[in-house]
Amino acid sequence: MSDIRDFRKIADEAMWNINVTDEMKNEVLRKCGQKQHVRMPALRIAAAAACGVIVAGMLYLAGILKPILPDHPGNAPESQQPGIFSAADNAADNQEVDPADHGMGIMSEQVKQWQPASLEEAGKNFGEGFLIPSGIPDEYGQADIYASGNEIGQADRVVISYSTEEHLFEIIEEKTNDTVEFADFEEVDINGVKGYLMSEDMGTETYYTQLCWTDNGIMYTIVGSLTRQEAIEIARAMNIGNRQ
Amino acid sequence: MYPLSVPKENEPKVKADISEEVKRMMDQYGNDVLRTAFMYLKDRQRAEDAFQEVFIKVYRKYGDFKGESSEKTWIIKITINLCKDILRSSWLKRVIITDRIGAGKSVSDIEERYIRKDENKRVFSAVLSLPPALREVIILYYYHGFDTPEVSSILGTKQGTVRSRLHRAREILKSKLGGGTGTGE
Repeated sequence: MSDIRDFRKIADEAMWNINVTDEMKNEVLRKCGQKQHVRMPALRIAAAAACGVIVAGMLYLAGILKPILPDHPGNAPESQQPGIFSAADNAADNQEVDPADHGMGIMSEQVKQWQPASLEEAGKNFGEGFLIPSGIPDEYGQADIYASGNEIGQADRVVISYSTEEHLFEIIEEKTNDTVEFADFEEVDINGVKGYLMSEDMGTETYYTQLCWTDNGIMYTIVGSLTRQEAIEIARAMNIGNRQ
Repeated sequence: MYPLSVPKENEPKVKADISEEVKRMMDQYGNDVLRTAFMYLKDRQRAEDAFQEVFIKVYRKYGDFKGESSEKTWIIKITINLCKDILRSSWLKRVIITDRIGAGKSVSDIEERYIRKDENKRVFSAVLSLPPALREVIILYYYHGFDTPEVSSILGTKQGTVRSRLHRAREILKSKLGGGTGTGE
């Protein structure tokens, strides 16, 4: 009989054909390198712009440039400088563009994460549609609350985590435009909204349940060590009188 | 949410050196990262995407690593935090549907594609079928060989919680596998 202490060997045998290839490594290095490639032209543009300003300034001071510029005030050298610096600024802005953050970026570094001090604060961070959980089984203590979004204090997603020594479940509230389809899930009513539930009896009084529903562009999920009925009751309690 | 508790290095390396370091780390820890991601995400393509994302993060955050934790601990922590974020961000869209415990499609798929030995297959499937909080302590403790304080540090949970989750995971595995799994903490 296998021994869990041999799990390293067991897992490696099971995943015998899951290996890193040279192609995968090269792709990583290529994407790391792209960041440099973007920066270099930006720096060159900024440097060229700065040199141009200096040269133009020297020529102007020497009285050489003035005759070749129209007298229109809008084209005076002084008024051009902001334009030049603007180009440089744009170049500098481009310096921050990182191709790896777009397209394949699963977790953009622009997404900020923080921990609201309370559910009420999380609700303020999230805004309309945030539901405060209630009816949480007594053995679960105070929730750990995590929020994320493009700006601290403006959450697109809040994860509320409840745990005991042996059990853990989470409530996730996330703004989304996606429509979700759930194959093989049981449909349940969450106060007039269709919810999708999957619950598994793990034996030894352990359950694993996932329940989700969407409402007004927000996806709500309850997932973890709960019975089917507990998850439904928590979900239904969230929708009663707790809208922010 | 998942802070990397390593201080900044005083003298950051130049980009070329960092690329070399990332290459070395991919050689050294690449399979650990890829397979850990697979055990979290249960999807090969997504595990490969996670692998790329992890080492791009390593490249960007290289200057943050000073060595207060081991290099492997640092990289596995990045891997786990990324996998958790992936699961949270797109859980319902792509994972839950195939994440049925016990007889789920993903486990069946794993069985068909990756598993060769019946006995080990049952153990591997059983571990992947554990609830996420229990599965990850098994992965960190038994697969990576981290001790309880290290697992506690990586997950940001108390050592007592790690121990109780290990105990609970072993209980479930025993139940599923007929009591044949050894323990030994």
